[in-house]
Amino acid sequence: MLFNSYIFIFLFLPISITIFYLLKKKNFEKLTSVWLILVSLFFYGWWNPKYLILIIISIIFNYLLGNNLKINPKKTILFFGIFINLLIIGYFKYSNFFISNVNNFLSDQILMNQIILPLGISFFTFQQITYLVDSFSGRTKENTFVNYSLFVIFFPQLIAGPIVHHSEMIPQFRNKLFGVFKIENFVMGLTTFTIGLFKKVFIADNLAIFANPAFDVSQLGFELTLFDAWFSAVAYTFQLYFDFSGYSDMALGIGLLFGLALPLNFHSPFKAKNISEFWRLWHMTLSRLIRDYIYYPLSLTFARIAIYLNLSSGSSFFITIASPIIISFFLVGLWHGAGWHYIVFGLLHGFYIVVHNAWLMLKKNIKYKVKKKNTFALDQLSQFITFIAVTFSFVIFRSDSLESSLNFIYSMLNFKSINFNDLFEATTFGTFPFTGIYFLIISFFIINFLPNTYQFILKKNNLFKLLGPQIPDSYNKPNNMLKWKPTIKWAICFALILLLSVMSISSTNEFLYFEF
Amino acid sequence: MKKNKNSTYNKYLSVFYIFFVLSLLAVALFNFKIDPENIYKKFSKNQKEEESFSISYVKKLISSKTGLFYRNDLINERDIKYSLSAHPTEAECAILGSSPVLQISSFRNIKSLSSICSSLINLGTTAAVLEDYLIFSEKLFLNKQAPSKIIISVHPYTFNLNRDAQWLRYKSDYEKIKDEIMFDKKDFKVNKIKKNYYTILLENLINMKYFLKSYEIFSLKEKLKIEEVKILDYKYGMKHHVLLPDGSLIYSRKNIDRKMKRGIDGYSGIQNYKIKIKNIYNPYAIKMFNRLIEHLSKKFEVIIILIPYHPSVWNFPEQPAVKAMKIVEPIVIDIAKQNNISLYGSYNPKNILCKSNEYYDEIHTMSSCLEKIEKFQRVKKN
Repeated sequence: MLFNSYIFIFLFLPISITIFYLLKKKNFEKLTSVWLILVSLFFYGWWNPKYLILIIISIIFNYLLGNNLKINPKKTILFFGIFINLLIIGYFKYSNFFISNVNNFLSDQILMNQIILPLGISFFTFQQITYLVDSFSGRTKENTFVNYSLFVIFFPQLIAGPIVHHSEMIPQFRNKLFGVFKIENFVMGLTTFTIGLFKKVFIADNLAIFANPAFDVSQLGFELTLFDAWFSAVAYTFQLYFDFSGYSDMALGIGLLFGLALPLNFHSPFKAKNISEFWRLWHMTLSRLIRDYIYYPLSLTFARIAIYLNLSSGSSFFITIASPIIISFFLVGLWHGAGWHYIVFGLLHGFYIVVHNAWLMLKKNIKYKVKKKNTFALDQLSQFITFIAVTFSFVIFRSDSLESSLNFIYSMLNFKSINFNDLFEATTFGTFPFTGIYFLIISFFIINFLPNTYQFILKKNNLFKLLGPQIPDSYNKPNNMLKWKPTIKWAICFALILLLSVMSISSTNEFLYFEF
Repeated sequence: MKKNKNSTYNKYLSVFYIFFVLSLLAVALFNFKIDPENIYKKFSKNQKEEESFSISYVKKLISSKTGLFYRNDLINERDIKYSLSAHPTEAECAILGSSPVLQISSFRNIKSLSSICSSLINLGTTAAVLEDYLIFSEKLFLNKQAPSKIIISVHPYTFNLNRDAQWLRYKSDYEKIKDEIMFDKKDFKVNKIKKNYYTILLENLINMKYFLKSYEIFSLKEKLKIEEVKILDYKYGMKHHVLLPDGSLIYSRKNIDRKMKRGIDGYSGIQNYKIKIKNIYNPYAIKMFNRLIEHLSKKFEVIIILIPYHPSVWNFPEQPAVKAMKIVEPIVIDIAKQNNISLYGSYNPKNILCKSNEYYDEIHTMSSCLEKIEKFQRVKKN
């Protein structure tokens, strides 16, 4: 079931919310969580009921192992748990990729299995691995099976995140006020959901119309004109942002409708002035997971080795900074999918961040300072360079293979193919080329000038305040261009936005992040 | 203070809901009332009056000397062709197919299939799928003065089910003929529409595209007129599309300009319309098609034609359309042999000798190319 479907909006969501609050009101407190688990299972089983067995077994296994680790924190048990989780995801997500590479390498033909990737497997697997690691480190508390299950399966975050941490969710389930209807949360949730739906069906799906043809053409080995290549690459970059951040907004909004706060996943990433900043603002919960559970432990281990070996500053930079970054981003790439282009996408971002870190070190060494009057121009330039670097990486991400991504990038860099006669003629942008341009301009305006969902609405919500600081202070600048208040004017405005979005729903447009 | 805050939020929520629900209802009502595609007319009292538009259009069309202007944005093509299929005719052949057959004509300056049919009615419909073929066949079967031959154009995407939803407006005709031809019980499971028909109708009531189309009709200054064309311009087209008296089409000037502007360079060659590489054909659809031929053969002589894609499409053998054509063409030949019916044409323009400049785009051929199809007979009827 998609968030952007009529059945979800007009049936599933209203029924689940109404019964949820009724149960609490009628003093069936324990049943509120059970009800949420049941509706989440129904939501997940809607796609393929077979995979309910997988997720249920996964939850039971990790819950029992987590409890065991709390009492008996042995590394062997932890590794066993991680190994089993990785084995499952490895089988479902990576086995065919592995077999096809072995076949290529050995020129052999091992038959590939027909495996359907269970939705959201990367999300719920890594969420549970972090739980095991934290149980081993004594960072988890006594949790009931119901609360643990709800932490894993709560449907707004189940399929495409945000990747929640047990320390954020389980305390909310334990709270006495959990299930008590609070109008403020409900209103903010509804408004946030509306924003997300609008981003998805009105902006992302329309951008897709103009991004997809060029990628299809490039995948068939064609060379694109320079303009078509750039417009399509930027259209896809914006599409991915609005698609994924739209989904995240909807997830956060639904969470609030149930009186629960989910962690933020986006905070105007295209305003980032460098690539490290970009990853602090894009898919924030994945960055957090990789940082806390892979980068920091690796970095610490490698730093110890560097100190032990008494390495020079250059070697030390390579061992303690570059290597953990590259390994972490290799895993980010692999997390996104079983394909070499995903791995290259991850490695490219790793490379970007290493270069950025090297630049920071160099700046520090040469004591480079920017004059105050040049700051604005430099900020704009940095933002632009970061955006271009990200756009190139998203071309690789979007393509179906490494070969076709290189073909696309070649078109983006082939300045000989400039043909002003072809510009905006009916080629890649189809018969209505200017509509594509309008959508790009609107997207650019929204991204760069309007406040993001957090600045606009969620910042005011008390539940979000309880989650603790999610955005570093340096990024938490107010945007006063638009301010939301629970006024009649905004109510009418958002009712109209919801109406437009509902009218634009098309049954075929799944979210891009569903494949992960 | 808290009470005040709550009442503000309560007011917001009430206004939000009331405004949303009322505007949603208004949109639904507007779409229902205007109903640009005549989907809901059967639920309204004005049914007879609305039905008469397509019937009177068809009456005027077949009696006209030059043809009628056809606003495809305002008039439903399916309704016209549906009425045409039910109308008594003197024509020898009826042709079924998707948009590539629309130019096939026994009326226009360059005639097609003239050695097979002295005259024809063109029931080709944009985006027609197998389900449409069944619907039109049913109408022809019931028509007491129907043509004696039926020419079916099989496109590379024809052997599929549910590749389009527009046929659903004539669902009852489809169900009727399907029940007649699919006598295996297990075949009834075939083409089970995932969504309930009434759910689709309900969803359509709040569909943006349907709303915009309703608005377009609503904002027309005068009622849609049936207007006869005075002088035909086959090469450059007229201000609107024109339906010729045999139901064939001349594109509007704007459309011909736009199609020609795309040229044969650039990205032409990429055309995977309605083709999915993982589901090029559905065996049940082939079974259904075979049964349809058996059924039609009781009353008509059935002939199959294949219309070639643009040569540039064939330059890219890896694209789904080419793969589909290579797979589907031999299947169609087998079907023609098994059923002992004639088959003309090929998807490959080299076989027909159609040149690049004989196309409007990758799949729409000009009449000069269509004229050559009958010269390439693949299967002869014994």
